Amino acid sequence: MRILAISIALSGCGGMSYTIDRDLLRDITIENKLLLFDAENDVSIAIDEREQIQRQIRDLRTDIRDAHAQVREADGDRERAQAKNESARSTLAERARAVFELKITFLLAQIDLLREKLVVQDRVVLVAETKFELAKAKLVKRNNVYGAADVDLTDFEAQVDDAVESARGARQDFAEDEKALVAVKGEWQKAREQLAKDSGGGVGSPWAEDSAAWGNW
Amino acid sequence: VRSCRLAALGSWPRRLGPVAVVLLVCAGAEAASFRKVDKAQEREELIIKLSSDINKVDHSVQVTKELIKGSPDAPYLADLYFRLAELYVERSRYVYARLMEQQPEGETLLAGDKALEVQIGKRLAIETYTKVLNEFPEYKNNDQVRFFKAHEFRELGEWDQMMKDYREVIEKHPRSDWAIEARLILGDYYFDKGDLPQAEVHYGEIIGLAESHLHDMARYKLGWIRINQEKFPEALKLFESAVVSGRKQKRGAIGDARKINVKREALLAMAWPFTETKKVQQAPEYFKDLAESKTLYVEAMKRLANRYYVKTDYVASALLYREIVALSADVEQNVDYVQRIHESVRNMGQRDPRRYSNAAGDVTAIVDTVARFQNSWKFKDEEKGQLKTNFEQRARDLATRLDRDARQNKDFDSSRVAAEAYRSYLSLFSDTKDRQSMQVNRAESLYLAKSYVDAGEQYEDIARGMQEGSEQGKFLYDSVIAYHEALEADATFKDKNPTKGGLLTMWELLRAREGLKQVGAYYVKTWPKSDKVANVKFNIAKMYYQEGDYDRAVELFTTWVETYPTHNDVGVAGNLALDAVHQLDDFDRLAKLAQRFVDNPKIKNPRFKGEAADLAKAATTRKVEMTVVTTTEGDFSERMVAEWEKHKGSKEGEEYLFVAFVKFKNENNIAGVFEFGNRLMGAYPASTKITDVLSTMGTFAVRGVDYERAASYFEEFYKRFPKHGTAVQVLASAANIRFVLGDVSRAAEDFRQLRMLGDQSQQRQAHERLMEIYRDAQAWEDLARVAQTAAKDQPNWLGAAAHLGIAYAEGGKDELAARELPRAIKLTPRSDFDKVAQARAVFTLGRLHQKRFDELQFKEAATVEEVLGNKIQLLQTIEQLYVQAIGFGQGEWAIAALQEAARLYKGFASFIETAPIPAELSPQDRASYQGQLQQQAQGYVAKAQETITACAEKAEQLKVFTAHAQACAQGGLEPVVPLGTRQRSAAAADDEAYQKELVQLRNELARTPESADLLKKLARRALQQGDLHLAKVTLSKVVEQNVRDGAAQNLLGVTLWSLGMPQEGFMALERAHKERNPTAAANLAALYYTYGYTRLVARYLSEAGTLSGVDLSSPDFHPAVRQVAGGGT
Repeated sequence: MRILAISIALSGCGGMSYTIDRDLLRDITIENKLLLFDAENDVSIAIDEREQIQRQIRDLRTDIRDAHAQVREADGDRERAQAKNESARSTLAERARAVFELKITFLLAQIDLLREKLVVQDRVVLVAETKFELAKAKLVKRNNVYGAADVDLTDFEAQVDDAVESARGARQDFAEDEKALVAVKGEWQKAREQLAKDSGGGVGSPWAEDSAAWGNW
Repeated sequence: VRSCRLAALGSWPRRLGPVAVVLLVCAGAEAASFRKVDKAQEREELIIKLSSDINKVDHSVQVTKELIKGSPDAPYLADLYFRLAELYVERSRYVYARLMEQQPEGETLLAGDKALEVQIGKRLAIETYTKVLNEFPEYKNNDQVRFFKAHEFRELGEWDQMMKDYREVIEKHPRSDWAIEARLILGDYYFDKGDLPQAEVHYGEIIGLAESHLHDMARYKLGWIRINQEKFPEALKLFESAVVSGRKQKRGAIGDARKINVKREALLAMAWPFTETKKVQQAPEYFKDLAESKTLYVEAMKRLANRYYVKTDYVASALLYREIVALSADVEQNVDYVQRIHESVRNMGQRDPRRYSNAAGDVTAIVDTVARFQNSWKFKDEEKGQLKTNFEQRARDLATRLDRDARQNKDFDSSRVAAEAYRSYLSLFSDTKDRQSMQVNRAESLYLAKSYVDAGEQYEDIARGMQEGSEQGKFLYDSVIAYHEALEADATFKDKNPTKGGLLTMWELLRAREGLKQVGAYYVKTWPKSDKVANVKFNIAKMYYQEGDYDRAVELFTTWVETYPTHNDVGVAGNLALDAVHQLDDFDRLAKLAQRFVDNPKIKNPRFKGEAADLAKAATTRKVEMTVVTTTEGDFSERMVAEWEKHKGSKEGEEYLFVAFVKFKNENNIAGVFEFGNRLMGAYPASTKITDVLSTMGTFAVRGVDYERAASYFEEFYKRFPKHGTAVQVLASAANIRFVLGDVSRAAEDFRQLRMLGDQSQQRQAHERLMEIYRDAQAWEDLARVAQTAAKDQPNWLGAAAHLGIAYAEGGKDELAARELPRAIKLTPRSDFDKVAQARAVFTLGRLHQKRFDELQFKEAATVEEVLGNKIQLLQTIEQLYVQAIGFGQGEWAIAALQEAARLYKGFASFIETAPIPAELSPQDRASYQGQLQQQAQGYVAKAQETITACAEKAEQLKVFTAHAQACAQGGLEPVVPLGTRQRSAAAADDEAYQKELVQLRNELARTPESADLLKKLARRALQQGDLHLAKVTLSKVVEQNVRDGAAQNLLGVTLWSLGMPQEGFMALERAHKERNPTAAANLAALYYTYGYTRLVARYLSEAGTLSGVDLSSPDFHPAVRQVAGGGT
């Protein structure tokens, strides 16, 4: 006997309790299946958005690595300046280090915020998935395919409601966090701007942001 | 040459002997390599073995002789002798070998007695061969016997006898293999003696025979003869034939001391004739085809290269040495050849373009050779050091000379080769004092060769090897420039060839961009005060832009623009900054940034500022549009109003209102259009968008059948933008709307303005409409004023003059009318308006006279005749005018003229009847006079009756529905007072419920403006309300869309009739009737009834069917239907 609706309690795993086996849709005409496309599309969009957040986190990690390289470069600059008794240059190097530390703080804060958003997005994906399953269930029922009798729409609807509730619970107001992030960014940029000004447009200027990639050889 | 060949062909004794010796020696040598054996002992062992062999042969000789004795008649007796002779030969060889071994070290010749022992064996053999030949002349192996005999003479040095015997072999056995061998030996004999013609004869004879194992040898030797004769092409051909002939040489010539590989020798021999007959470039291909192996090929190349080198053809020799070095793994040999290459190149002509064309390969060859030499265990460190030093100089020399030439000649291809030569050099010579110079040279060569990415990398490498300082900065800057050039060249190429890939691979593209960013960043950090830093910064920013990191690009370009506001590239940088924001789809940011540039007083570039200003404006619009796109339907109006309030008074606020307005316009949302349109007009009265707003709202109002509102918008449009291109047209629309709505005073107001605007035709139309308005409203003074102005503007305009006369006449200004009307009548009509006016003018003039006619009455007897005369004269004049009026064919005025004519006759009859009877007449005469008068009067009464009847018939025939027609139909001979049309009542406007219904219907109509059902619904409602003008306009729109809409035509007919336009109403009803509209027949019956066309009433009533039970109060029925249905007929 074919498995129609899988009722597995997966509470705690974040998965779905009720799903419709794809085999069940096999005998449904393509015209009818078109009805599923919107729901399926919503799942894809939600997943895309989640991946976008993950990509942003990955990029930020790279930026943090680069910023650490800048810190090391600043240390090297300072050591060389000290060896040559160039105190002004040494001071600038020390300040450059501090600026890049601030940048790292900002980047880490950005990652924290994105992680929080990722948690919410995971729930959004689940909502889309449960809606997709509901759409499949409705289609199966409407077409009365073999086994449709075992599908109880109320289970699927309840599943959607639970997912929506869960997503709503996870949803936060990120405005405060974003405001805090802007403040951290501002602090870094202000320090950087002052440093660029004091160094005559060299250290600290936005153009020299990637200097460590060459200077650290 | 000959000595060389002699060495190659050095003779050995024949057959197995030497081979065996060689094998023995080899065996001994092999044993020696494993065991330490004393040389003397070794020789002793060999002598013992040879002695044993001699004893064995002696024993065999004895046995053979015994056999011969015992077989006197045996068929194999000849074989036994032949075998015996062979044994003698064999024995003499062993003896020779043993004697040679017994000779003291270094002694190569045998002394006389010892030689004799060897010769005895040979003599015995010769005797035995001779015996066989003499006693067994038919013996099958006699060719061989003779050949061996000759050979023994050859070994004994008896050349004449040898020659004789070889010739005998050839003569007696010409096709035998032994005869071919004999020919070869004879050829060699003459060749060695230098008698080339004789040698050629014998070699030639071989070649003339069927292909044999010695043909290649003969060709090979003939080839050498040709070289001696300096016939190089033939020589090459012969050698080539020897090499390529199909027959494999399975065995060599019997006379050869050692087996030689003729094909190999022939191939190597080709070097000489090749250099004389072919081009060196052909050599590799040519010899590759011929050589069986790489080794053989390399060998041939060596011969050839050496030959060219000897000939001082350095280009050729260098070419071949390169080929050899590339293929050969022999380090020692390659060292020589590499030197030869370098020397060849140095010896080439200074202007020879080929001199350094292979420098890269040559340097690579040097480098490879040095590397192999360094790694070889065969050489000492000292040798290695010397060779490296020597070859480093040679490699450097080649690369720099090529580089120098390339730069002098601006030859970029050679620069590329030079760069490659430098690369090879640098790959091995890492610790030389000239390394950095070579790196710099390489970088510059790469740059010249447009290999910018590699150049950039090379400059980076140079900088990496340096201490921090200005020198390092210079090279880093060069690196930035090189990367920049790479990207620019790539971009330019892509622009010109959009369908092709760029000049750079993906890797190179990435390398150039990252290189520029990273090196540039370091440069900016380390040398911020450099005069080149602006350029570097610009290019860094550009990299981020090209890589699609727009956020970063915006930041960098914006900072750049603000740091260098007077730089020549400020426009480019600014535009790139703006474009980067545009790529991010952040229009708010784009608008703000563009405005920031505009507001920056330090930026002086006016063109850029202008562009930024335009962009700021466009971005604001786009931002607003994006807000529209992203707003959900339900929140739209609210959101737009909120955004507007947020940006009240600003351009952006205006944009929000306008975009919302446009959205509603596109959606046909009439309420939205009016809401946002009015808001925009109120908040931004000077906005340039108001033209669009007003005209759109006007159009929407028309579409929603809200004509009054439309007219107001159009009038407002004209008021605000009188100079606008469509202003006059829009005002005309307003005037026409007012006119058809019956709002004559405001229509007149508009037309009064219009008659002073536009071209002559537009002005004339305005005048016409004005005259119509006042004429229909019977406002004679106004009409006179308008007509007067029109006549003044256009003096020969019949319509104007006629209406002026009519206005005077109707207004009681008879004298003026009497002056104007005749003048008007004489003018020529140019339009339908004129024609109707002309007919009416003639009629009016008739009426004017008729007024005088009516007034002219008998007063006293004395003036009876005079009065009568005048009366008759007037009668005739009026008659003429009415006839003229009828003649114009304008139904209304023809019928009017007829009715008036009837009344005229009737009046004249009455006039006559009342004529005073002269007092002097006798009573009898008086009676007779009276009788005559009555008779005459009766005549005019009859004429009047006749005319009125004719009028009634004509009116019925022409279907004229006027007061005159009605009078005719009823036989009325009283003066007719024509009714004016009805003006719009204000009652409808005050009815709130009615207005609400209208709004609802109009909203529906805005969405489906062409819906006939909706339009008719609205028209019915208007008719019910008595809002006849609105009904008329609405229904006109329906029939305009579909003239065959019977219901609409019927309703229109009812409406027009109700408006006092029965003639127009009749036409609409007729059309409705044609379309079989059931109510039209009833309405027509009522109309006919009203106008007295009683004959038609019954017919139409019957067509209408029973009307009982039908709701005759419906707007589809004219109120008169109820009357006729109630038995009026």
